[in-house]
Amino acid sequence: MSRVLITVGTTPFARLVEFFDRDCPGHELTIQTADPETLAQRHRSFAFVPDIAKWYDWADLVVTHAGAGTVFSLLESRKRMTVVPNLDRTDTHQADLAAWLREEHYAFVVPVLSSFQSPSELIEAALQFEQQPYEKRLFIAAGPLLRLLHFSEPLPLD
Amino acid sequence: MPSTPPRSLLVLCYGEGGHHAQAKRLMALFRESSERMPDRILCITDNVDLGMPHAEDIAMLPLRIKHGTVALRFLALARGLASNVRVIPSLVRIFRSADRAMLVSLGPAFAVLPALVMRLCGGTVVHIETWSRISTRSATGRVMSVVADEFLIQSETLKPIYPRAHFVGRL
Repeated sequence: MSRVLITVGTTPFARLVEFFDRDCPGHELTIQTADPETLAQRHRSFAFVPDIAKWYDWADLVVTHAGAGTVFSLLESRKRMTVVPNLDRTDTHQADLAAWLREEHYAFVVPVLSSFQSPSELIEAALQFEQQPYEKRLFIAAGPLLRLLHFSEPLPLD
Repeated sequence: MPSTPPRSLLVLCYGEGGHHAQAKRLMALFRESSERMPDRILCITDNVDLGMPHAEDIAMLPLRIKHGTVALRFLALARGLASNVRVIPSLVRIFRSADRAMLVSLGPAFAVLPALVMRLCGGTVVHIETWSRISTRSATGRVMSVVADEFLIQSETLKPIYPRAHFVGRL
């Protein structure tokens, strides 16, 4: 049995929650929603929590919206991840991040949930996906920014 | 007689979710660096629950909502602008109280107004384009690429669309 966490971050994503709020034999699901009014009915469910990292550790697979905070945390911890961009938002920047994840094979990306008949089918496909490890390019501007503030020293950048 | 070091002010502008995560990482990197920390740190955010330890907070309203009709979005913009403009006198007073001041924006639209105030007060403005952008520009990024003294990107693939930007790695 695989343990699967579905997380939507701080913005409602009803399509994702509804897709997984069905019977899913062979898998244990936990669904994080954006607010307490939209909790899932058929699986363990809770609204946004600040310590979601412990649930990342719990899960064998995390199904997430393409929010950058969640995505980069999961990439850095090399967690098996499936990304469903939330295109219900007024801005569509999640499509940008999702396209990059797909190109680099950093995650199993599902632009259209209806291409899968059931949560089980999606999870099985996600578990078979060959995910590439992410190598982070470290942020180099913290010290230079403080020198810019205190000494007006130009940033030593490209 | 030893001279008093100039009083420095760092202003961080960030929203919720990924913006907040980036701000927390940036603050951690500031603290890990061997450089002197600013004397005063001010967080401008749309949710004061997202404040930072040892920092002061100012709340501004978001200018954009993530869901809703065109009318609701317009209303949110108008309400946000009307509310945020009222903060300007406080910003001017705080920004001018420091000998050296720098504003770092991590992407929210409401950062544009404090950034303009900071420039007018003689301080430095740095915009770090949000890490969710890989190949497209954000609306805030378009404006801040003109307003900011330094424009930093977290993905090298943005370089062609932000020619004067510096790639600095990812938070």
